[in-house]
Amino acid sequence: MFSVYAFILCLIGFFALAFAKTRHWKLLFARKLTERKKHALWATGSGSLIIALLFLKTEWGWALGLCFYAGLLSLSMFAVVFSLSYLENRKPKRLRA
Amino acid sequence: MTWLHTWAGLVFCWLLYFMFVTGTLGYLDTELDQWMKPEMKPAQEQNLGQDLSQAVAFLQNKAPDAERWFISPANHRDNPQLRVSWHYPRDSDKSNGRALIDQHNGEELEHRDTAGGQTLYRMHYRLHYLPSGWGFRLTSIFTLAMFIALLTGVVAHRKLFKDFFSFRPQKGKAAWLDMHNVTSIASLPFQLMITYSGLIFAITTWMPFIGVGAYDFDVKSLRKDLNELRGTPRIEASGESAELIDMHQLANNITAQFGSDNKVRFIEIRHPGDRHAKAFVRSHLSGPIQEQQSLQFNAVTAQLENQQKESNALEVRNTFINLHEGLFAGPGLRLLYILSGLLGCIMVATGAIYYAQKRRREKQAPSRQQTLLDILNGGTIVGLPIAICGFMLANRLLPITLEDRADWEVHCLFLSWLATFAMAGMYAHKAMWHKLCLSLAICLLAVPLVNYVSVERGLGQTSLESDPLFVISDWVFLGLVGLSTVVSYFLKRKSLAPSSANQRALQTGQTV
Repeated sequence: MFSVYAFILCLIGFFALAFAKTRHWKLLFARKLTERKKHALWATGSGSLIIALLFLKTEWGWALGLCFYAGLLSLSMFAVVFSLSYLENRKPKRLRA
Repeated sequence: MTWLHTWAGLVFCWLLYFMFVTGTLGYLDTELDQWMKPEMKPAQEQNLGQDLSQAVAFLQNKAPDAERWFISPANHRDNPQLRVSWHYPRDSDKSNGRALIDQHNGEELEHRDTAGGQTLYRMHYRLHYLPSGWGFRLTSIFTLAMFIALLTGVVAHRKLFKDFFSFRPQKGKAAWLDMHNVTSIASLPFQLMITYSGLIFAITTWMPFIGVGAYDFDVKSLRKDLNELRGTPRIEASGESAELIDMHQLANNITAQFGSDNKVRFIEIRHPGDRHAKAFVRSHLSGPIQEQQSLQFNAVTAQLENQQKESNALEVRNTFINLHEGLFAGPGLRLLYILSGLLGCIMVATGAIYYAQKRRREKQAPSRQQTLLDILNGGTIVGLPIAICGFMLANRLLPITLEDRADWEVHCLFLSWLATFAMAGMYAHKAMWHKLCLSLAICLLAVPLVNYVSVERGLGQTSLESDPLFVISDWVFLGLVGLSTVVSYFLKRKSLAPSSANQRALQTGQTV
């Protein structure tokens, strides 16, 4: 079960890290990305990635946990990239509406 | 010079793609083996002593005078059936053999002669149709090149890490590059691990003198030390016969050392029937770091004689090799291994496509070299999965009694691959990609259909509980059919839409 939580945390982590960049922030929010928000997002992102690793360590131990971590990082990053490009494609339509 | 640069780069990509695809399927080698031997059902896990005594009874009948017996109990993904093999000394004229044993009656399990998943997996480092050793030398050079490309790529494209998440599918050529970057960054830990550990396999191939040199080029004493390091020292037969111990007793002694939940991977019995007979025991891996040492028993008295712990250097080497092979991975981690491998395939494929596209001159119709590159690219990237479908179909369709049937399965793989190149050549570059994807979809659909008709273990004929492997593989194939049909549809729509290059060519009266 910890592995599922870890996967969700990895997704949250990468989404937060992505939205800490102005380019991706603009996809969802009209308001400006302030420095403070940027830092908060960055901290949330890195924090959840670290907690994900700790979760995996609890369930599998370091040796297997790190293997799982590498795999889950790849998978979640790929998922985040694709959802961002999906958002990007939708953006013009929403602006028209 | 440009053409040489282009070709060298692309040939590198194609071979690497072959290694990635067959290597990724290697994580499913046992599953493919099971699929390709549909006569067999997975064995019930039974008690270790029972497995061992059945195997020994079989071997005493089949090869009583062999030098070494290997027994793998049916207790793990890697050993779905009770498996034995027997080996004679090198100078003997008798031939070695192996068999799967039916637990119900202790007889050999009959199955069709098939190349199986193991052949596909071995192709990723040995290639095929090459003299022994050469394929491995070639792949290890390519591995080194890939490792250098990875490391220099990370340094050269530092700015990629700034645009960590960007993928712009609408940007034409740049989309291929984005895809290449995203897949390579996403699976970077896996890529670094797999190439580095791949190189470790090749240490003694390319640097043999480091080992032999330390022994003043005395190969024999090096081999002796290596065998001891690996926990399988050389043992001379005494020539006096002695009865082998009861296997139930040996099983009890093993369980006392390993614990009841730690499963035996294999047992090697050296000089069975001799007074000096020994049994070497290895357990399955529970993680990348080997925690269990190997055990050495006296196979006449069942006494534990030695408990070898691996040296630190060997342990480091083994850790990398275990990571590469992923034998310890359960279903979840295995899935992640496969997904990472697939990301690697996409990385190489998009790299090859971008590399060829970049060299295209937009305003002109493609040159002959360009067309040839496109054909080879399409035939490799979409053709290889089609060829693998051909391999699996051959397993079901070739007559059971055909001589060298296993070899013919592999010939079918390469023949169908050749056919995809011919097909790619038949269609103009624009229609090629979607036609290839459509034929991939048809071939993928043919696999479960032929399976349904020929061995009657298809969807609706078996249930998930009794036959999980066959049901899941059917669903995976159907999923892939859907995916490649969708891809083919979008590629067709795209090729019909006039692109900027197309329009320009139309204005100047040229055809693209």
